[in-house]
Amino acid sequence: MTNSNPASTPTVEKPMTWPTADFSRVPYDVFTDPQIYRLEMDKLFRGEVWNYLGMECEIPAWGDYQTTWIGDTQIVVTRAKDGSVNAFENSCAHRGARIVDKLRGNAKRHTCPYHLWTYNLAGELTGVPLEKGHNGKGGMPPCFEKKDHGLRTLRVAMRGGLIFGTYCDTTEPLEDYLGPHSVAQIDRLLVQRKPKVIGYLRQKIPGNWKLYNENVRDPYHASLLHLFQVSFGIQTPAMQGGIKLDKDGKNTWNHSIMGVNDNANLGKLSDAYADTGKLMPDLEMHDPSLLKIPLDLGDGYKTTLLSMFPTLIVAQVDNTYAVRHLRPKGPDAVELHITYLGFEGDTPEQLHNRLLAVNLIGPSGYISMEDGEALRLVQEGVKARRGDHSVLEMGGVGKPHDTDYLSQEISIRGFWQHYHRMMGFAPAGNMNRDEESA
Amino acid sequence: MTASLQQRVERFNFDYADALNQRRFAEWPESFAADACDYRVVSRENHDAGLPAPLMGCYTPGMVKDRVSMLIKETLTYRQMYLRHYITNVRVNEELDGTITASANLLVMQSDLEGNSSIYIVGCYEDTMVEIDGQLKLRKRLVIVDSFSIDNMLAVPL
Repeated sequence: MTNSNPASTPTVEKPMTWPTADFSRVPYDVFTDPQIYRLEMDKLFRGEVWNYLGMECEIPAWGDYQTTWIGDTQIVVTRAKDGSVNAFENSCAHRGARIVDKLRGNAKRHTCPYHLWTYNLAGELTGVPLEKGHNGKGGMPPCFEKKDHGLRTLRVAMRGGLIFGTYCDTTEPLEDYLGPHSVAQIDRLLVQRKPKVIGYLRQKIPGNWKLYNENVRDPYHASLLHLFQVSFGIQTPAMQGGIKLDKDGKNTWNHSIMGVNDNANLGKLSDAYADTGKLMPDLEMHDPSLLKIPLDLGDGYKTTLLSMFPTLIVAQVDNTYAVRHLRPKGPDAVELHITYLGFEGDTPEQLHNRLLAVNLIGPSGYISMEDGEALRLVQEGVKARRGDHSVLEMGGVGKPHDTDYLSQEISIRGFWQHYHRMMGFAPAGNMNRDEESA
Repeated sequence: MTASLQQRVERFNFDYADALNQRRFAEWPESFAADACDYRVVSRENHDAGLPAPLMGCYTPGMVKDRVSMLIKETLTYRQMYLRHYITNVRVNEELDGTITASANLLVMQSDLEGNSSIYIVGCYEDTMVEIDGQLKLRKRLVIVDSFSIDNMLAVPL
């Protein structure tokens, strides 16, 4: 049956636009559109970016390997005999099968299970069974050269024990890419003591991977969504702190500093919570040992969140130290991989404190569990808002800049500024005021 | 008829699950020994690799209470789901010194407010129990989660 009612005729969707040059408006389509996701996999993750691949302490010995993800591509990271670190795609040069099927381990060579093509630790093809055939019959043609059929490799660079890889020959040197604030904080968190992994945590979040990037560049939400954090003075709007951006706006160092007046200031906050009834400064714990762990770096930073484009976060929340890495799983899902760190030489008491403080972070963390929920709600909320935009004006509009205050969304705009450039979208800043007010 | 230890442990687990599934969170700490207890949720990955960090770790009775008091006081923003525990393959052993060790398989299904159900958690319990005033209490409960890529969040204990 045909329906000629004009009201049921499909309307042409509004095209995606970036109406403001300061990225204070973000099109919701970037969180939902499968075509944009495909474009990100090609242009962004294989473009001029340094992708996080793991930590050196995870593969200390010859042959140690682990797998990780760049976007939706699985990567194997290996330690060679000479101590160098290599990275290659986990897909056979022959027929594309996954070669390494364990998360991590040790092997001196990697053999595809299907036809036993064998690769060395640099990803070069070293063996093809029946290459010359059998009894003079079959085999590969004379023009077949093993050197032409290695795995797809990445260029690797390291800083502070963090391993990065890039597909692109023109990606700038790693330190320039990270910027001075990231480099200084990586050194502060991961170099002055030698880190070791004390556990992994994983969290499947039903939201776009860029929503997580917004979340970690958003100190505005930190003291509103995470009431535990405010109630117990881990990060509050009354605290000293701020954000510093790299030259592109893509990498953010967000920090809060413990101060002597924090408790008094916390009491004055009720007006700032605008009658939400959510502030509970009188909350107490039955066993407050979690809150009494002394900051072990002794430099007063309560939180340090280093968010590095496109998928890496190095985070200190109180006495927890963790690397968070995003594995995009389509436009509407991301898996968060958390590597939880202790340090060589930790006393049994320090280790106990880390196993206590882990209750703050991860999918069960008193603070961080709520981020997944917030992302789920955004993803659900924006699904049908094609052609529409979010509003990022907290902390001021205009060109993104550093701040010495925390109630801001400026660092989120910095992320979008760089994302927009990487994706090669049409220039931003053609806001049509009539359309906006319609 | 006197219930066997096997039957008593199974009934203990069913009551434990009922308190969580019916959101009577204040009852959950009563399953633990009040003088000393240990409750951990660990991923299969960390458990098998000997990595000590848990997903949740409560090392004193006070910490056990705090885990649910954050839910009771609504400090946390988390998704309201109907949860159902399915606890099977219960195996109980009584040691010579009177301590009781037990294990069980665990499946937790979740259903959202629009009636969509899915598997939330697959794992197992490894327990040490004591008898206090004629009642079984957990001295230690280790929850090993095979499905350790957690579906968004783990707010309610397992």
